[in-house]
Amino acid sequence: MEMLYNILPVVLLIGLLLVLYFTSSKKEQKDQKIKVPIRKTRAEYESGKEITGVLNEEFSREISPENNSPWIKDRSEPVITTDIDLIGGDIDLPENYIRLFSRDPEYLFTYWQINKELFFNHTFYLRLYNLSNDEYTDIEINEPAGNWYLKIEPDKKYKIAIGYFKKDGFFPVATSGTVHTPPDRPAGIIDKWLAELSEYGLGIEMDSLVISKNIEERKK
Amino acid sequence: MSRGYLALVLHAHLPFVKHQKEGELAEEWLYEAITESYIPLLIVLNRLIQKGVDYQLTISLSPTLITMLADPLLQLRYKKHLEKLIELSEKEIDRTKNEPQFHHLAKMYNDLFNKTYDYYHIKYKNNLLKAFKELEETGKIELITTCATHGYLPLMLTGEAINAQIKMGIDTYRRVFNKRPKGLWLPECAFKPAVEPYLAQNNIRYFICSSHGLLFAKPRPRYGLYAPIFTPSGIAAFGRDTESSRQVWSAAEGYPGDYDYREYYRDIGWDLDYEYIKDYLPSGVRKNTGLKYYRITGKGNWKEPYNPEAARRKAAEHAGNFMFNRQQQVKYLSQVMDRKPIVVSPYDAELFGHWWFEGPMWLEFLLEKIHFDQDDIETTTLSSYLEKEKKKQFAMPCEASWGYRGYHEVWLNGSNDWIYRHLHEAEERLIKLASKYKHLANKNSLIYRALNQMCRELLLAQSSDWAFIINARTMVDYAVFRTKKHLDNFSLLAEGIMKNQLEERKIAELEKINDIFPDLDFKIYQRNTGVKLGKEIESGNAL
Repeated sequence: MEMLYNILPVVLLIGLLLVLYFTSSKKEQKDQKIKVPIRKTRAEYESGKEITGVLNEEFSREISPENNSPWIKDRSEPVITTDIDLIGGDIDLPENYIRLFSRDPEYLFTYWQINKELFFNHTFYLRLYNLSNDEYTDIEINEPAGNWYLKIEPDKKYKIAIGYFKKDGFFPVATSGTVHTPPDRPAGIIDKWLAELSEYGLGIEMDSLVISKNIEERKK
Repeated sequence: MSRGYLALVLHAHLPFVKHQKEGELAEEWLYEAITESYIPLLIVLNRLIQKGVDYQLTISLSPTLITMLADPLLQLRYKKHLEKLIELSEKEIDRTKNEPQFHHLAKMYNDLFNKTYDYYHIKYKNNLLKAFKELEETGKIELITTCATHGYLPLMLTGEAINAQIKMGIDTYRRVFNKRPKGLWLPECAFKPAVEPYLAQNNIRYFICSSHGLLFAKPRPRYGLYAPIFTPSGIAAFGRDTESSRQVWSAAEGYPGDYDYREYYRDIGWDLDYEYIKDYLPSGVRKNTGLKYYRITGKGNWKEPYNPEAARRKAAEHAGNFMFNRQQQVKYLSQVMDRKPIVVSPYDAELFGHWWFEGPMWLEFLLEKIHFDQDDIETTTLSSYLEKEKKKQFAMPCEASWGYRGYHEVWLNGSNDWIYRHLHEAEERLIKLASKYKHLANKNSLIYRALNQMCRELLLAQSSDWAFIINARTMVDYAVFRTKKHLDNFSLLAEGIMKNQLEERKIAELEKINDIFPDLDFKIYQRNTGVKLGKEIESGNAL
């Protein structure tokens, strides 16, 4: 018991230090959130993943005229443009896909397409991943609905896959991009940082790409 | 010295409703809007200048509306329509000569239509765009535009589609007004963070979001709705003021529902004997003519004759009330803010005059009163505000719209969700074809023309109006027809390209029917623009 009393201050001290450490790093993050914005974070919401899965290889194949058409060999030469030369080539759309959109802070909208034969040979499930807490929910598709509204939580990241179960678990046939559902209340992040356009030598007449570049520069 | 700003924004938009046969289908939407809203607003705004009233106002003209106002065929058809309307009002003066309660109203309409004719045909030679341009040159109004066909950006699949909607909107504006618009009206105020890079890429300096779109921004906006925020790319986002919107918009508590105001739903097109009125109904089907003789009167079906003097007094009273409320709002806000607050009040332009007959009159009273009667508020355009107040907070507005319940439900529900799968498929198909034919140079070749027309068909199918109408359950057939028809034309051309079976006759026919965006080049759908494109964009609120 006495020993407990001896180490208690030490434990408390360590605890305090930990708290301090985390709050300060959080603060840093917060600062960053305020100042970052620009291009870097952009990648975060551009990188919606395309359809994945073995069955969809053809979708990811890029169509490149250089590879499969005889009508352009050297870009410096005038391009031959008789219509006949341009015909052919593959512009097929994917056979299996699933897509996800936010409708509001409470519902997501998803729609999908699965090869008919494949669909009727398996029991298909939607697997909704909540990327904010790494949990998922499976929903059996028992009718050829083709689309669904999913009840969800506001201000969270989600992703959805469609697939069936094999011996070793869930086999996704197609996966959607990531969706961040809209919030239903004001943000908890509050900052007091204000900027003046003229501080960056900016005016309303200016190009917004120039503006964002200048802002980026200044942050360095 | 004022304590704050009021930024009135009028958004004028109609979907592309030009049809081959005169007066067919929804073309009367354009005629009604010109007679009842656009010309009355232009007349009021010019008259204010003559009265020496200093005011500022932002007006957004949608590219589809710009195209229709500039279209020589539609200009002539409208002139004919107006002549018929004048003829009808003359007949009405005669018919009502023993009904004093209606006779003076028939004269009022006759006078109104004649003035409209003088303004439209004599003064502006059928071209209202000239009138808007002249008004902008006075410095009183700022003209902006919106996306090509008023497409609903957050429900598009790819960045290319979003980019093309924005870019073709700006291009249409530039072709007519010889400069770039500084701001862009987001169709239905619908925004999501993934849209923002495309606004930046197209040099947009500001846009307007719904109230909660701004209030729920991250980080939390320090001044709420009363100062714009900067998005990460430095674009200003203004929020729609809830209080002033409700006063004008709301069916229950808003001004337009006042019992003294004109009743929209009692029109002689429905009320009078069919034999008498049929010559003035396009294709002989009963519909609104614009001559309405009753006031709202009350909640029931009993309607009393309209009294223009009483309505005018009410409009003046409501303008005074609106101004008083804004003064109070600004006085309060200026105490808690370290800068002048801005109250942004955006409305559909067609509300003024078309739905709310006394709307233009109300606006005239309001701007006059603001100028002569007080010093607390001054009106401003959104760009001149940005020049005046420069300190702003960086934050990203959230995904939202100004539709019922604030998000996408109006445009995405059981009644209309089927359209998106097809629109998205068309987006993908077009992007793939645009990349495949990126070296195609002969603009007169059938493939080039077919690809360009495919872009037009997709853009036209994307109008947010179709999903909206399908949801509203009025004229559903027309909206479904338009969506399917454009997608069908799209598929036909795509198939023609893939099977090498393009027919010049068919392409020429579609080019003639859907002749919008003459300078469009399908290459805008290529995967090569500055922002990383070609992937499904993420939905949601990064930051």
